Amino acid sequence: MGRDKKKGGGLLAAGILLGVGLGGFVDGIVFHQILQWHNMLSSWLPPTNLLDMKVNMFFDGLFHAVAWTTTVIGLALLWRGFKKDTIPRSTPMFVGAMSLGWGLFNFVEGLIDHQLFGLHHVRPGERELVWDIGFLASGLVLGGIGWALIRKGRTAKTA
Amino acid sequence: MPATVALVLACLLAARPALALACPDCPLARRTRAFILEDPNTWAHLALLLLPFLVVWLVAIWLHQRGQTAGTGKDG
Repeated sequence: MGRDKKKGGGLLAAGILLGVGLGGFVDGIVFHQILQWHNMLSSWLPPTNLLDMKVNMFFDGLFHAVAWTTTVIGLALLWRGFKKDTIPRSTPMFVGAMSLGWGLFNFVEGLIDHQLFGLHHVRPGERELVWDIGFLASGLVLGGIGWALIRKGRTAKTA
Repeated sequence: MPATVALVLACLLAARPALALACPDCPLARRTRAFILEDPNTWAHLALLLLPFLVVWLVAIWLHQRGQTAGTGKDG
């Protein structure tokens, strides 16, 4: 297989989807379930009784289902690329793509669900804006690390 | 063996309130399903849940397309 066919787009797409899925699991497992800081609809439908808690659990489940589907699609893309030998075996590019995916998801999810629509906040309370901005910042940091690693991988590949 | 059965039964008895809450056909579960089905905001909730995923899926599709067309003259 010629080296010119291994352009890395498939690896980046697979890594980004895996990062989005696994990042979604971190959010759901850590913030929704272990710390119980928020649920999917907790600012619109505060889980202050069992019915509202169960409705929130339903939407948390949908969130996890979409994160799972995203992870599976990422794995399928990765596997297909390996089988067809069309993706480069670059650890920095792969880890970078996953970090970029996680960061991108944190930033977009934070922007849409926390800032624009207020569906939920990271840690509701007096300082919720600080936590929300911290979440957005985590997205930028993860995305920046991912971008740097991808560039490093590309540089090593073309060297 | 009987001791194991007894232990399992004891655990089930102790967990009975939780099992009753988790049952798929108890009144609370039916109320929850009815609420979700009848709530006019359900589709908005679903759309907002999906929107961030859609954005990053589009980015991944774009990168994937770039990867497929790379070197064919359509893309760098």
